[in-house]
Amino acid sequence: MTGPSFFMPSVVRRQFLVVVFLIISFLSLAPLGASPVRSFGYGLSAIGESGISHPESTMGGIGLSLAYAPFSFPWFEPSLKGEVVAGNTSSGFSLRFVRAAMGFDLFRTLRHPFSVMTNNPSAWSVSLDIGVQFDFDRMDELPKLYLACTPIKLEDKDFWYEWCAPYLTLDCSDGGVSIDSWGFVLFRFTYLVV
Amino acid sequence: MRKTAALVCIVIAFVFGGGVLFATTDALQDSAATGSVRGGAFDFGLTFGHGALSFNEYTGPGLSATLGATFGITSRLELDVVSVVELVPVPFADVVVGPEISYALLGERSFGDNRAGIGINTYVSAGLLFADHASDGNFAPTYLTLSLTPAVVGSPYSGKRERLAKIGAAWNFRDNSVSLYWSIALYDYYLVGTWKDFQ
Repeated sequence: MTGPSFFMPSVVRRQFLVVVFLIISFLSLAPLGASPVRSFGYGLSAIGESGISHPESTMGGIGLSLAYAPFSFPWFEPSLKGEVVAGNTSSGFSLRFVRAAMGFDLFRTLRHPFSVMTNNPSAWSVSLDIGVQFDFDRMDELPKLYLACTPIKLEDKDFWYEWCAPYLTLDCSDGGVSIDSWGFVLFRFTYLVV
Repeated sequence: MRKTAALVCIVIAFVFGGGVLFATTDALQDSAATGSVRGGAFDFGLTFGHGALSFNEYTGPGLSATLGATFGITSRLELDVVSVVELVPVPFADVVVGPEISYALLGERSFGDNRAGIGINTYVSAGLLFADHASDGNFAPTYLTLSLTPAVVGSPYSGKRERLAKIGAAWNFRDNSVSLYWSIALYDYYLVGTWKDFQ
């Protein structure tokens, strides 16, 4: 199967609905944050993923993402992220996976060693993401747990620049936990529009 | 063995780059003081970003990065030392490295004095890349490349530059095959030749 299937098994459908419920709950909290800066944006990223349990799914590709960060907390600022990735595997170019994640910016500081990387003053934060990833080639399986760390995230009022972010996807389907794949986001460039 | 040769080649490239940097820094400072450096190497930056040789039997699916350095030669010409390094699935398993010459089509990339170059430009580039992408497996000159970077935002003067949507062809003259040579984005961080050097 090379494209997304919308005929998910019931257990997957239930998890999908849980994710949708969490997203709606998160959005409903937005007015509490009253963020003074733009909070919604879209992004482009360069991503590679190495399949551990399914080596044939190893791919390199491009991700298109949406991000929503309605709050403006100095610590543990939450954000909501969704991303769809298309890439090239040994069997050709196709949609590879979609993921939804909650991100947490652990801190935010203007005094950092990466200021040389941007023209405008930017804040540095380290972001941790946790979420689920649905592989379009394996929609009959449970979604994988997605864990990511972005060590260099530079923010200004219009952009997020994220660099060199490794991630893991874990298969928790059989009561145990095993690594399904690992990957690397070379960069993700998010433009905040609203 | 091939990996070691590739890494040695990268080190040589950076040492070469460093040598050019030190050789030209004094000239740059002198010329900055006099306000004219046309015809000389007058800026230097480090490059980081995406890069790939695709549809190639020697590179499988995965992610690779471009690491390199860029040297201004004239107001429109620059020399780039580029390396395309595999990150996924096996970090540093495949390395391609070599020089490229780029020409700014839309205007001066840098004047070499206290004037900014064109902020949005288009570059055409030609290069010779070393790789072990041949049946004999030797790390040697392998690819002739020709590429176009349609959107280049920023300039040496501003200190940062983004080269977007680079696309071209790489001819493997050892195996007589052609690959797609492309990059989503490359970021240049200039250490020499920025506005700070002309104050």
